[in-house]
Amino acid sequence: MKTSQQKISYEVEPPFFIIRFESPETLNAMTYDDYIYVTTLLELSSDNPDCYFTVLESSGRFFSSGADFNSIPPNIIDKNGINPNLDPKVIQKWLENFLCKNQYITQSFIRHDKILVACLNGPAIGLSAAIVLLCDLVYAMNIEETYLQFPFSTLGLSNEGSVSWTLPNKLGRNKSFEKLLFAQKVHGYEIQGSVLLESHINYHQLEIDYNNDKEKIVETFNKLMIQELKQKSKNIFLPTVLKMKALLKDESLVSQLELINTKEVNSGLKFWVNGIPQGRFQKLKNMKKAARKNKNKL
Amino acid sequence: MLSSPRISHRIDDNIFIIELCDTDNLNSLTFDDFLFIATLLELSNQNPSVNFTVIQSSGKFFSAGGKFTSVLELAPKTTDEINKNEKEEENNELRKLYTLIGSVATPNVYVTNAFVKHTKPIICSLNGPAIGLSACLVCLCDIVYSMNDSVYLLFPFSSLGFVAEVGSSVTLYDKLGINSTNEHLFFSTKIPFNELNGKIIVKNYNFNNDKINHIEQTKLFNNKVLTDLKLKSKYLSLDSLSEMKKLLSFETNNKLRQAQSLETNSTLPFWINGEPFKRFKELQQKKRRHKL
Repeated sequence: MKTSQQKISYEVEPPFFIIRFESPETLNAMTYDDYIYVTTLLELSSDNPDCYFTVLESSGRFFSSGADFNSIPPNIIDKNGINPNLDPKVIQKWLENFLCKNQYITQSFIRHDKILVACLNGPAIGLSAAIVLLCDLVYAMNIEETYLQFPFSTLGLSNEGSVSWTLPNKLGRNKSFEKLLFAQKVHGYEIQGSVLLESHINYHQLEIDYNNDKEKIVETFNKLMIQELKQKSKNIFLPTVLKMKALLKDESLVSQLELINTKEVNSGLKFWVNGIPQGRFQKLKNMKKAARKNKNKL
Repeated sequence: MLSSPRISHRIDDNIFIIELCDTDNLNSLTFDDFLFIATLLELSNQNPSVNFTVIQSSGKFFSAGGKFTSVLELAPKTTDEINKNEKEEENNELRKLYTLIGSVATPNVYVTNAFVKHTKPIICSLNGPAIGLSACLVCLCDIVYSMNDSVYLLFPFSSLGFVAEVGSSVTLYDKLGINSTNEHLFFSTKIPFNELNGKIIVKNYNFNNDKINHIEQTKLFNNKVLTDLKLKSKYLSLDSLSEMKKLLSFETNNKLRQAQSLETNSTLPFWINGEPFKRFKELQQKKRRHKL
């Protein structure tokens, strides 16, 4: 298994601090350790006075497929018949493995003071999709193939990553209910303009230029995106953008996001304690295994 | 237990269904009917085997809003009926105020709050236009599906002489945006399908068969929404849903709690002043037509 440092690289290219997910073979699935590694990179960017933008990039087909099933610890098998809700050991386990980490990760993105930019090369799922919604600027390589999905209700979880606030505000309340309750995809065209911004990059031209070689296309997209951002920020006085972010995302908004973050992790905790998501993740893992077996047979 | 000939309810699997069934009168409702809907919501809320609450209607309209007769029953007596004795007149004034506060607060406080404290996702099958207080109910729902693009919402409060009621000052602003809300509330203009689509209406079912009459078509639409809902929720962990609703709604719910008091107190002077009664009467006598 790759370490977080192998899966996620970074580059300081003032005024940009670029974080890149480089594990296309797993569709950039992330363990909590990986997410925490990203938060340490956010810190680095925050502390670097030459950096004004923190850019998230990825590789391969997906921006990030969300939580890595393999990183989820198994359920403690309850031998004494104690109700897990009343077992301090079980509660502590999920405080450590879910609540603290999840809250810390979301919090780092809420509080990040540089301009957060996401360059989507493909779909984002789960906590990664929630992080995309916490970004200040989001660009997509190809809107038709881009979507965000929050499969929390199929996994027996509750909302994460302050998505209870960000999605209703960016997509509208009723639609957010539909998408979150029924774990439906939020398609690129539904968030065009409200989340996904326009760029000058022509995806179909890239497809022709690189003969449908996805790896090359994404690489070029990331490069062009940085070029475009560089071009845009050429004539602006950079310290202004950080002041503007502080005004647009003022203390009261940040507090709202923090409040919802706290509510979310606390409402999710009891599902983990009762073992519901673990069972559902396990089922998905088995389904994946079975699918792979069938493929091999063919 | 309250009851109403205009509203039926039943439980299908894990879905609590509230249906407006007075097709002949375009499902217009009395104040008591709104109260009844609130008690049904409570009934659904308390039933642990229910996961969804669906509000649906019948025929051509979702609901044409408050019944004129029901509104006019609240109107103060005309001057010749009032006892000339000064002391009694004072009492009359007081009684008038009591009745008005009661009837204005019922939808604004009690009905709005029934939606606020509802823990299950509320889904509205919008088969046709909804007007007035009924349009307010539609806006209080979490998800709205439309039968076709001939649906609209209308809040004729300014043309009837009172202010935004039953949470609409919060829900419309939240869902349509401030400028659009201003336009439609100030000028009592219809909010057509294309403005609702995507913002309030989540999905349009596009039932547009001219050969089937309205009543049958609405029945087909209502059934389709229910089968889709069952299909969609089949693989979900249903305990997640109410938890999600809690997270998604707490901020709006706080605003709605505040609005219950604000809306009641802002609208009350208008009702005391009597302008709405005059205008409802003119509507009833067809002296005034709402520009639709």
